[in-house]
Parts: sequence; structure tokens; C-alpha cells
Amino acid sequence: MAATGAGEGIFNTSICLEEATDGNPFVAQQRYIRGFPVDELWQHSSFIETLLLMFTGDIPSHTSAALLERLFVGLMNLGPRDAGVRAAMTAGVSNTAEEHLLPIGLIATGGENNGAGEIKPACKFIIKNSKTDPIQCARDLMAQPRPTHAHIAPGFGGHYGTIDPILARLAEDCFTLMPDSRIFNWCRTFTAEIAACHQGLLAPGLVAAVCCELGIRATEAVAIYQLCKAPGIAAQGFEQLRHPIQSNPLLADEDYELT
Amino acid sequence: MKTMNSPDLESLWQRNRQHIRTNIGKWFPGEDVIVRGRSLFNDWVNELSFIQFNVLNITGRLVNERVAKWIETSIFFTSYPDARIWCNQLGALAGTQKTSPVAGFVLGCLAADSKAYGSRAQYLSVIAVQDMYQQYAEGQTAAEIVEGFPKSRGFPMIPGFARPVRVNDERLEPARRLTAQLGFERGPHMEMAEDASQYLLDTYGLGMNAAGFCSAFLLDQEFTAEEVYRLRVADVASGVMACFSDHAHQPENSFLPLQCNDIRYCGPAKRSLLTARK
Repeated sequence: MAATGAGEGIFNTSICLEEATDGNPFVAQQRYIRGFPVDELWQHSSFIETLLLMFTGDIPSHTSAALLERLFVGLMNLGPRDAGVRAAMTAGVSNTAEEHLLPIGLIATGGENNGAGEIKPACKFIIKNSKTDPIQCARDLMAQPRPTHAHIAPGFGGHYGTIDPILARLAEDCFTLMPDSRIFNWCRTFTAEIAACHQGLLAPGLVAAVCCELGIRATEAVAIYQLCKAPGIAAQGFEQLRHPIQSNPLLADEDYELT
Repeated sequence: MKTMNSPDLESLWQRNRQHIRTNIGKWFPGEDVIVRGRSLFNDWVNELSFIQFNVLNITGRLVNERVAKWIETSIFFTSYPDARIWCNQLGALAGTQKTSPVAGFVLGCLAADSKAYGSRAQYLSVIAVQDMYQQYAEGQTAAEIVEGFPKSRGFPMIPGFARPVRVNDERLEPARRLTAQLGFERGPHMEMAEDASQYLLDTYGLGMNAAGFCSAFLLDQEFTAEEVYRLRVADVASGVMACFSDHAHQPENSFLPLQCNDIRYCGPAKRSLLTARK
């Protein structure tokens, strides 16, 4: 079989190199992730370390890996009432083909309201403002008129009209891993100030803060958010496949008001 | 080491590497598009309805205006703007979460690829009616065919017959009227399906549903099960997008918001990981 030409290709990537076998140019005999052979990675690198390697280009420090690990575990399952989890559960209980459940949950969690669509604006907000006075920044924002329920800033808002206590604890447990982080200290102070209007850090804001600290670009922080939430979406959605569709009855007629 | 692949596969991979070979059509940028051998802009756009064009694209076949009208009208039957229906719940949810409308559309259509309803249920119904007809043509009675299906809670489980909500299907009579008004004669698959439906009604109180009726009709129009599946992928889209639009300006978490105790937990009792690991 003819060998492929060097330098040819339809995609450019700095993440993955594949070397073909001698006999078949369609089969890879070795794969390198950011230069490291996959064998070495699966033997000696953790999931989080390899993830950070792919997204940042470098082997992470222990602290960076610990930080992302904590974020992943903390956001892994935001519960059946989270939009993404709920979407997957609704699809699961209504017998949607199982291979669609995870994509359904990820798509549902992609919106601008406390979803993946809020990640990039949150990153930009944090990067732009984290060099300013967080208290003044908070006060300036609180003084501006905004619609009810609107987030005071991307990544920072209310959770059913108040501050999400679980997210607040997770954020603090993440921030304490890097006590000298300018970004984390800024977020902590800013969040404390906006508590006066019953708003706090949201999951997209926490992911944005962590990604900014780890040097993950705003666009790619969207992927980190989706990856964080994927396991809980999958577990909760797939669990529902075992329940009959009747276990999740449609809303009763008398509760559906046609105006 | 040389891998042991068949020569046909090897040549296929090499032939297809950086090469597309097809007869379905081609875009000539700045000029035209050829679809199944004819010009999109000079021929098809003047001659076909969208449904006819869609069928042509997907199956390679031209259907007449009557069949196209039937297909188009049948999509009304799956376009309910009721956010209680599972795919529409996701459309509404997507609206409140401010996903893109395309995401809302995809969510709903993907969710409706379900064994219980929607496009996959339609596909399974076509396969069921196809298999039932095969038995019918070989001489089995409707009763024998129906009783050959597995039962759940005493009711035969036949795709296309009865519904997840277990009420009479309000779409069935409109579907029958549509078919009659367009002048279609009852074909062999429909004869069998109506026979089976009557037996089910007489014996179990519930007959064919609209999916079963549509399956029989489309089989009589010589569509395959795979073609029906491909043609009906977005049947729920109109209802999904209605629900998306209805909730797009609503605050997050405003669609059927759930309290913590609205979820029935049936897992392990609360415990400490630190204690469990000792």
C-alpha cells in the first residue's frame, strides 16, 4: 500500500500526531498527544492531567490538576433539576434512543442562562475586571438598573432568587487550593459584595474563573464546562431508561391552562 | 507488518481518500446545483413542492403531488404545540435556558427519536406492519398475527397500535379522511392493518394509532422502513419550536420549576465517604 505524503492533511492540529503502520497508512501504530506517546499517558498520567495536557499543551502541576479535579467532581452532577440533567432524564424516561441522552443533556446545558453559553462572556468579564477593584466593580454593577432575574454579570447571578450555597462551598474549596491566585481572590471579594443583591457565583462563573487561572482559553472553557457536567447527565439520564414511561406522567389536563 | 484486509476494502479506502463519488448531486459554486441529474434552480425549483424535493433528495424517487400532499399534511399530526409532550418539554426548557433555536430544534427532534413516540416509533411501526403483512399474505388471520405479539399488562405490544398515553388516537380519523379526500384506494398493507386494528378494538378496546395507519399507507406507496425513518426525522419540529418560542423570553428555571422534594429519591441513606473508606 502506498504511504501517505508528509505534510499533507485537511486539518491542522498541535494536539495529536498519528504515525501509520508500515503496511497500512490508514492504521495508526502510535499516537502522540502533545508529543507524548499515548502508552506513557495511559500508564502514568491521570484523566485530569491528560485533559489539561490537551487543552493547555503542558503537563500540569499537581496543584492545577487538583484544582480541575475538584471542579470536575463538584460539578459532575448538579442534580435532576439542572437543565442538562433534567433534559437527559426526560429523554431517558420517554425511551429516547440511549445514544442520544448525553448529547441531549449537553445541548440543553448550552444556553446563555447559566449554561455553556455564559462561559465565554464570564471569562471575558473576569479577565477584564480582575485587575480592578472588585468592590467598586460590584457596586458599579449593582447600581445599574437591570431586569428582574438578570445576572449581575456573566457567571454571577441568582439561583432561584438567592445564592447557590453548594456552588459557594465548591468555589471556596477550589479557591483555597491556590491562595495566591489574583483571579480567585478577586472573585471571592466580588462575590461577597454582590451577596447584598442575593446573587453569587454560578457554575459557569466558577468554571470561567478556574479556566482563566489555568490558562485555558475562553472558547475552550466551554468544553471544560460541558465535560464537567457530562458524567452526571449520563448517569441520571441512563438511569431513567430503566423506569417505565408511566413513572413520569404528563402534566394533568387541569394543570394546563390554555389562555 | 502488513495488515490482513480484503483487497476490496483497501481499494475502497484508497479510492475514497480525498474523493467523493456520488450520483445524488453536486454544487457548482456561482453557477448551479445538480440534484439527481437535473438543475435545482432551472428545473426542480419550478416543478416540485418542497416535500417532493425532500423525497427526491432522500430516496432518489419522484412522488406525485397527491403523495406529497399526504406527507405534508401528515406532519400536522406530529406538530402539537403542547409543552407536556416529552420532546416539547425539551424545547421549552431550551427556550428558558436561552440556547440557540437550532439547539432547541435538535433537542426536540433528538428526543423524539424514541421507541415510545416520534420518528423511531414510526420506523418501528413500519417494520411491524411490514412483518405483519408478510404473515397476512402467507395466510395468517389478523387474530393470529396480533396474538403472536408479546403482551404487557395483558395488552399486545405492537408498534403502531395503541399509544404511550393509552387513549384513542385523535389523529386516526383525520388521517383516514385525508387519505380518502386525496382519492387513495386502500392498499394491501392498509387492508391488513385495518383488519388487525378491528380485532384489537373488539378484543382489547384499543386499535391502530396514527403511526400504524401512516406506516401502512407509506408501505403501500412503496416506501421502505429506512426511507420513512429518514423522511420523518423532523416531524416534531414545529411543535418543539412553538414551545421553544413560547418560553424563550421567560426567566431561567421558569418552565415547570422543580423543588428539591419534587424528586423521589430511592437510593442509599445519607453516609460519610470518610467513614466508608476506613
